[in-house]
Amino acid sequence: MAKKSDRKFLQGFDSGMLLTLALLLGASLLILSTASINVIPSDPYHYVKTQAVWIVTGLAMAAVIAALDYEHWRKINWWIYGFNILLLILVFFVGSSAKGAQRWIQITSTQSIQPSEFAKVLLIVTFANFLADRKGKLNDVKDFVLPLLFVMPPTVFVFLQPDLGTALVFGAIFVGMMFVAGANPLKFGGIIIGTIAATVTAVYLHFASNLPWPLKYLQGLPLPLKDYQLNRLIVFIDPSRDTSGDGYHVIQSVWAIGSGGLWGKGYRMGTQGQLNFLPEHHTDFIFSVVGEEFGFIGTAILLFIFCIFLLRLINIAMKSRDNFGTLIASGVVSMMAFHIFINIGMTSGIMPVTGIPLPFISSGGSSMWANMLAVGLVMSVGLRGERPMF
Amino acid sequence: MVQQLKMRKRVVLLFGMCSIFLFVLIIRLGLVQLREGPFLKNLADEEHFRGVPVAPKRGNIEDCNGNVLAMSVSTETAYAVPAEVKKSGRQEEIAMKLAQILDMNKADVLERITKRTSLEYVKKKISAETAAKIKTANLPGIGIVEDSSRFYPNGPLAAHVLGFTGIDSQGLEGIEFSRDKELTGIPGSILTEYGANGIVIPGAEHDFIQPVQGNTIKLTIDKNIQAFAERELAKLMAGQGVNMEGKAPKSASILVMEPSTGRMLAIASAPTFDPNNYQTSNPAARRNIAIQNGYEPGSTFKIITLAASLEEKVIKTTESFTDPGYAIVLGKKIRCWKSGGHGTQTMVQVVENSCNPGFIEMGQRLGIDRFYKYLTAFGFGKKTGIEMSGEAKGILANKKRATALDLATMSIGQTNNVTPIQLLTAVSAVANGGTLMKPQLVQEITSPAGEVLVPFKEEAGGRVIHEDTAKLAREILESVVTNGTGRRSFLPGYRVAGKTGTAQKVGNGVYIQGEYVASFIAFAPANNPRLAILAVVDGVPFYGGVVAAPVVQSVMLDSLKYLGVKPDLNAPLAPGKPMYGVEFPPVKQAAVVPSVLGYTPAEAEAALKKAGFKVAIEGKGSYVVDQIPHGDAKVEQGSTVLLYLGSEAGKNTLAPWFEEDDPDVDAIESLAPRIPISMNPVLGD
Repeated sequence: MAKKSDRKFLQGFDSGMLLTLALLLGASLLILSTASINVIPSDPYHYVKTQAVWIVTGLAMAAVIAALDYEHWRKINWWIYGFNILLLILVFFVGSSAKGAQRWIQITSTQSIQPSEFAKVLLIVTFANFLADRKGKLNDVKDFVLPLLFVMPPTVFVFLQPDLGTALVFGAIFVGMMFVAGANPLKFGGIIIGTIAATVTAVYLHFASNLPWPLKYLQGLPLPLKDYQLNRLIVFIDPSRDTSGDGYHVIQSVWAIGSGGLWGKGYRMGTQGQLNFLPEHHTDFIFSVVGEEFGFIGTAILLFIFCIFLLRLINIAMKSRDNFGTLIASGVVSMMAFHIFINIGMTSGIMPVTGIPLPFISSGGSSMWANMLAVGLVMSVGLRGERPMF
Repeated sequence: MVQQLKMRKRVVLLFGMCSIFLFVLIIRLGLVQLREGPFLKNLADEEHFRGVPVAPKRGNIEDCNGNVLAMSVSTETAYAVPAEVKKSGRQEEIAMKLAQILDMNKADVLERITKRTSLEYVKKKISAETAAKIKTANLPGIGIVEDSSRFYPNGPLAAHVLGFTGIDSQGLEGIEFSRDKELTGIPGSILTEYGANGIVIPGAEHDFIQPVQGNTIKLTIDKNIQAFAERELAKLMAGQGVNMEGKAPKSASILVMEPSTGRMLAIASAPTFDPNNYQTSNPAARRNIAIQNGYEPGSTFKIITLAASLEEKVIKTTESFTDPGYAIVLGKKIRCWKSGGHGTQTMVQVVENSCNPGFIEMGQRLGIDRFYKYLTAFGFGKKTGIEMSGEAKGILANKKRATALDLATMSIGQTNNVTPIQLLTAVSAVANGGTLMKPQLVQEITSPAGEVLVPFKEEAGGRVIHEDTAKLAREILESVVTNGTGRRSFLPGYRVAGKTGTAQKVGNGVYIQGEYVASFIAFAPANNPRLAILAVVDGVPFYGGVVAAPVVQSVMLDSLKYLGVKPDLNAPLAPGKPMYGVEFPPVKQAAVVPSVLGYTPAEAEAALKKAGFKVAIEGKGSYVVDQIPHGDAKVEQGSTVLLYLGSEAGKNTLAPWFEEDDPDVDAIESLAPRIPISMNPVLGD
């Protein structure tokens, strides 16, 4: 009996997803071995080593989560939700700030964690449960209100840290999961597009001047954003307005990627990253190093691996034995896809700088562990799926 | 189950949306990396590679025999990388030490070495010793790079031709300017890779791009002939000129050309300057007057009238011409320089004597159309194209408005404005057998290794007169030197042909009294000219035959000997005796004309006779209102002084043929408004 169950268990094992994950993790170490070499001159491989530690520990976490039946999480769903809120509130009291934002909780003297990274995964699990229980009652606008109220508290706390990027990821998770859960496409789509349009208008009005009557009364509309966040929006609109500050990030990043050309300058042969012209080149801007040193060939291959990886996640979402599993996998897909799009879009100059990392590639423990937990959850869904489709 | 199926559909759509995102990214990356890649790569490279430029060695300028006239010597330049200076935190100390070594103001140095630039020059052209001191001081962020500086080993020799270079070794004038591209070479650089903080990457690639030395410009100028010319100019300017009575001219120039090819062997002007220290020189002294200044050539121009008349066969050498002492054109009396006239002469004697009525006759026989045809053919009124900046075109009287009176004055070298180089080029055409050659300054261009890159190429502007016409004109001009007004340039043993000229100067719209442009143009040997020389001495109270001819004689003799031209055994050893009917004023001491303005005619005559001058009287009146030459002018003893009586005679008037609506009236007015022609009797000695 146990033997039969084992075989069945292994049938659900998605070797394709593991293979693409292995490729991404290998790429991360390879890229970090060039991108982080000049960050700590006395220890050029510091970030490669720490990343390796996070990968190993992260894989262990993923294995544990995958081994556990994800259905268990439904029973303690509200505990998880409460824990998530608690962590995010805790940041305000015991958190340490870095670069103007209070995002970190110090664990040891050298290590700290970023609760907002884990909050994404916790939100996916709890929101999947919330939506699965509602069984597709998402046909009317008033049906959207409760789900929105459900995701609102964690999102607002993250936004207040302030961490606009992660708050936006929460939004993406919300949109993706609502869509998969069956939200009426016209009404829900209308609300989403309306929200984006309203945001763009508000930002425009905030910066606008010399508007005709009666719009002039809306000029300089106050926005609940910090100065640096506004500045990033300004330089996204026009990077040349601030070539040494935030605009510098964007310009340097685009120069680095562009100067790689088709074949790239070669491993460790990049100049913008190696000579420190490119800031944050081992974390948020690591993709620029890929573009500079490995060229369009390198960036296209990396995007292709991400694409396959997402496809494997989608596959698991499809063959999940229940809606809860499908929604978890969809949430993870939404999160990963949004991270990839925003990060690469930011480094190549088509998205504003929001400071969110590239999954699995950027150096960072919290991000790696959170992503591993997400992968573990999806694996758990996959291992228990009933209908292999591919 | 229905709901699950619906959800699966939505999952597929979710992947569709993800695919759109990825597609947008790959398009964006394609644009940035493939389309804009090369452009962005340049931007990125510029950001982290900084080159310390290494100046190329500027090419030499040499004379036709390879003697170096301009060369480059190595100097050092001190530069600072401000980011490194600031990083060291010792900028005050560095500035103080540097200021001490370089003998500069400390505040200036500090400002330079902390400027917000990637690289800043602290001081250029410092000596090797100073550079060594800076190197030993081992100051962070301060470096030394080799530079080159221009040196003219012969000082002012050929300064106007060579020109000079600025602080960055860029040519500013002369050949240095016109051949700057060939001389400059290609700058090299020491490329150093810099980090974002402006600090040199330790052990980073230091790429040295070797500078390429500039090419050598070999001039047609001969250093020795140039030196002969400048020696004569120096004598003149020092008041040591022959027959100059201790006076120095305002300016003077001597040009030497090889008539057969157009090669310029010397172009010398005074006052001059030392290109090694051009900054401290008077800007007026840097003006290349041989090329840039026009003047009324006077009788030297009669060579052109003669050549045209011979070519058109309007005169015969044997025909006789009687000079009554004046010619009347359109009611105006134009006097011959010799009062009373030269009497009956052959046409050859007309030239020998520089007889004004004779040349006016030639001009009248040619007519305006033919005369202008030769003016143009000989290159007047347009640039010769010599490789010198700022060449003047000269100004010709408007042909449409020209009258018989203009023709008459132009025939004797007045009215038209020409440059010395134009006149020499035109006369060289007569000397070389009738072809107008473009004056050349560059013999060839060679690579630093001596390989000829651009060989000499003479440029013929076309035949102006026939060979036999030219030969005849040469012979006649030879007798000017042998028998005529050019006797002071006679060289025993050499056949020299030449022509004197004395022109009055135009200033403030009128001719300046008592100040002439004395000139002499000659070529030798007359049967096969190797050299054509023009000397123009400006602002002297003397005639061309008196002061300019000896200058030409001296340069000619030295140059012919230097070039190894052997004396001609058939050449006369002494100037010929004046021919019948031709009176030469004997070579006498110059004497100062007393001023007799305001005297009664009788008093004036007495005073002038006492001083040894003859007297001629013009007009009627009880007092002398003007005199030619003016008081204090130096002329040969025994010359005739013309006295003007009455109120109208001395009044300067514009010639009546300049009409107000003439489009060229401004140019012509500024050029040649004149006193009545009858008042210029001394022109053309």
